[in-house]
Amino acid sequence: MSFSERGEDPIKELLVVKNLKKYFPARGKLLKAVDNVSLSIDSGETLGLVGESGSGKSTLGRSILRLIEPDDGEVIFEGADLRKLKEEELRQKRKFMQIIFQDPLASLNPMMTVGQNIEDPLVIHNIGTREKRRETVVELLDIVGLGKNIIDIFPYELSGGQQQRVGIARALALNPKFIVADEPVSALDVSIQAQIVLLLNELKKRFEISYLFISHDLAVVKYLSDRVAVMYLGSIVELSSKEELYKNPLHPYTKALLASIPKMPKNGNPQKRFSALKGEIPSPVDLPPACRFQSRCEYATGACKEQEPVFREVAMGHFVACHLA
Amino acid sequence: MKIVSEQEQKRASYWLSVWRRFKSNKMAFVGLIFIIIITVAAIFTPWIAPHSYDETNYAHTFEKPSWQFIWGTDDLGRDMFSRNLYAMRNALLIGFGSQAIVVVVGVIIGAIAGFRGGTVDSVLMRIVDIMYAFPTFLFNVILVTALGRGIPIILLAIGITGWAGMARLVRGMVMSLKNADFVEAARALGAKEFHIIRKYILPNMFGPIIVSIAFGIPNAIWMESGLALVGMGVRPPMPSWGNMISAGMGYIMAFPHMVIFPAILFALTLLAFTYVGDGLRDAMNPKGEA
Amino acid sequence: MEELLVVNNLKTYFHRYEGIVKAVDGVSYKLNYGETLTIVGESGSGKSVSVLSLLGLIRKNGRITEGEAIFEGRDLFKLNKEELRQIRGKDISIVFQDPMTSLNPIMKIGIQIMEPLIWHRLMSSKKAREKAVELLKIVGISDPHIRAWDYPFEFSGGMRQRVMIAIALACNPKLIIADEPTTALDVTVRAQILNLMQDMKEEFNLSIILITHDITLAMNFSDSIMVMYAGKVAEYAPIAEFIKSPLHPYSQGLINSTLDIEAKEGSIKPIVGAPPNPLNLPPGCRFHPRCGYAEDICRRVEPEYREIGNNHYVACHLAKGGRIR
Repeated sequence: MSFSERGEDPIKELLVVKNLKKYFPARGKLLKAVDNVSLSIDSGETLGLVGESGSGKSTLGRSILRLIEPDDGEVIFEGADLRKLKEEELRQKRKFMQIIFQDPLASLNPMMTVGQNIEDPLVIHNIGTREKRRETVVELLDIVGLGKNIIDIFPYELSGGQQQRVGIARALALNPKFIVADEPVSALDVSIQAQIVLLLNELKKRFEISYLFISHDLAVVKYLSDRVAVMYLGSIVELSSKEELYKNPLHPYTKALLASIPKMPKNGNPQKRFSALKGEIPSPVDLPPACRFQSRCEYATGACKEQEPVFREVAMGHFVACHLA
Repeated sequence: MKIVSEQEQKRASYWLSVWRRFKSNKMAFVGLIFIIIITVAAIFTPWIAPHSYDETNYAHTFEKPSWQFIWGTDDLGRDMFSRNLYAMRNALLIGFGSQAIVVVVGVIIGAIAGFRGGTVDSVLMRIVDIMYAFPTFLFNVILVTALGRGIPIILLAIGITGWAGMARLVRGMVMSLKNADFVEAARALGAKEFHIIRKYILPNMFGPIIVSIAFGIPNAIWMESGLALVGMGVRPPMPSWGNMISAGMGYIMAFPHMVIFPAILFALTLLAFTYVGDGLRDAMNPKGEA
Repeated sequence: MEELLVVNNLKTYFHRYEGIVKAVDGVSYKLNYGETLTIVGESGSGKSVSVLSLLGLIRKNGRITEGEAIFEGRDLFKLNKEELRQIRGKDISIVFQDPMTSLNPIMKIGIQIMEPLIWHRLMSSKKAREKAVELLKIVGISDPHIRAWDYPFEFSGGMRQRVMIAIALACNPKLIIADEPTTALDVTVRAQILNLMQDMKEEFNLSIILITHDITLAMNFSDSIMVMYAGKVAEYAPIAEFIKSPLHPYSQGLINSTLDIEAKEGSIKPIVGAPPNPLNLPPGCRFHPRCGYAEDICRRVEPEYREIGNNHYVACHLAKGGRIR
């Protein structure tokens, strides 16, 4: 149901994350998976979150939902700090914030049928009667583009794309306002990726759902997002509107990411070589007090090696953490 | 080989495909048929045994197989066939009974340890380690000596000394399932712990547990025969393969039928369970190829 | 003689409990010296199997039921085990997808590079050591004389892939098969590895068969491209020809559904449906259930794989004289 159908006003800043931290102990040292991250998402808005391995993007998504317990910071959802809620209150709140996973088969209970998987959220929260729930399941399958003939079969018999649709149907069962989509298309065939992305887009418009769309693929993120944040080694290095980020990237890492993606050679000039960033992602354990990116940055100066840049707004709605921006 | 039709593809559940794979394993399937036959025989033994197991007959001692006594008689003139039937029944009682205890105790302890983690897990696992370190056979001898040689005692003893492996298995499975995506999904949906254990974790553990039972049953039967060898098995005149073979050993040169029949049945039963266990394990390997 | 490898009508079938999977069902292609052929396909297309069959590296339940693969004048399928073993790693080597699992975790890197050199009796142990260090230098590992004696877990993903390439290069192969070599790597590292492969190709005059699901990559990196679908070749062409006019509806569909970073909003058109179940292939053209142009003949008769002109081959009833409709 959309906001208008629910009889509510759309909320500016549905989700506000302030100074979120999640650290993991690693052999005596500290792995700062999420290091002081702040962001906000309005209702009906999609924030794309881009990063490579070690960026902490998945950990951030799960920490927001308290599937992983953050160590510090605030997660304010619809005005209430999730971290301060007691177990039962949190359980109730969970109806409104859901998650879609990267591996669609692994996210479904193999011992339950498709119908049972989709129905479970309703069972968990004691919603409706058996017949009513069955109707809802059929409705949800229809919304995600599947027929009711799959209700009684088991997840492993479906294709990857169908499995992901089932996962989406299950996430929609409780009418969530916010969904964390953790690399929802990375494990799917190329021709199916586009289907799922279009589906998510349609659902976004129809039900006014906010997404935190996590991906390593800037091209996928571009289609769905209103704003995009780029993460590197646990912090956000750039955040701006979609148009701005792709047209005018400020952080050297963002620029490198964009440049290293092969482009469709429409004018008949294929690239034989690709723009490559030097070096590799360093270990996120025990980072030195400097810009995290300086070891790979072609513009790095003295200041970059000594001091961590502040994440600040340099243009309207455009934030960067870079000494040279 | 045929190309499978659309209908046949559709309705296959996980267990159905496991069954199909199991069926195509000839030895496992034969083993299963054998087990079904002997279990039915064991249930109806009191009605199908031609004689009772303790009916002595001094006029017919040490007889070779004949029409009256199909597998011959033993030193006290008792019918070997009937005794073997009762021995088989006892073996299955001990096998299934002890494993029932192993499952109950092992699953409870393993699940609690796996789910709670932390100190609870450490304490429980230390207990498991202690159980593991104990020489099981000795422990069984002690228990049976102390509590008596009845069949219930024996299967209880074997069960109590044998749950450690199951607990470890269950704990491992619970721990890895805890981190599975679909369990995380259930938490994200707001499921309570009990719901998660009941619908998400337990059903996904059945496979390896059943395989463990399939191997545990022959182990238990074997254990009883070991006890019988040291005179601590099922109390005569109630027969068990163990005590029949032990008793018959002395006469093996002159009257081999006293040892051969129980030994063959014993071996076949153990083999059958082992093949079934192997077959189950292979069949449950997801997406295993031909 | 220009042709290094000629594959004719290769058919590899797998025998499973549920039936026969015709993973590769009549695939033919040619590869010249110094040429890069990219095979593009999604899951179930048979792209990996079609190449792994050449070296006999398919699962036990698979059989090459038909076809020939003439490599430098000899049919690979007629060689016995020993002869084939001598070609593997020496004349034809493979770089696999997952560098994490493709290297032996308990063996030092240097030793793993030396192995093919010693197995194929190309040089003494001492010389092999020197060559191993030299190869690591060539593939861009710094301090190779030290790093050669580290274990795989001490290397990052990108570096492990470089090591895989070093092993593949060790015996101066004529052909390197790269099966999704960059899929498991971070985006910023992919470009490095692709550039390395290009450099190696030019330096050592190699032929490369690259297997990928990424059509954008394929259109940039290759000299020629082969698109596979459900075990058959849909289209084959030299790259310039393909960029100018991709003829098969599936090729066009792949291009149009790829979330290209430069695509305009709303221009993404996913292909409907999903790749077919290999145990239950549709009659006629295998792509017809998903094809917007499908006509009656497509539903009944399998299209012939024929040359349209300019060394451009298509398997489609409707691709006449270079245009679909």
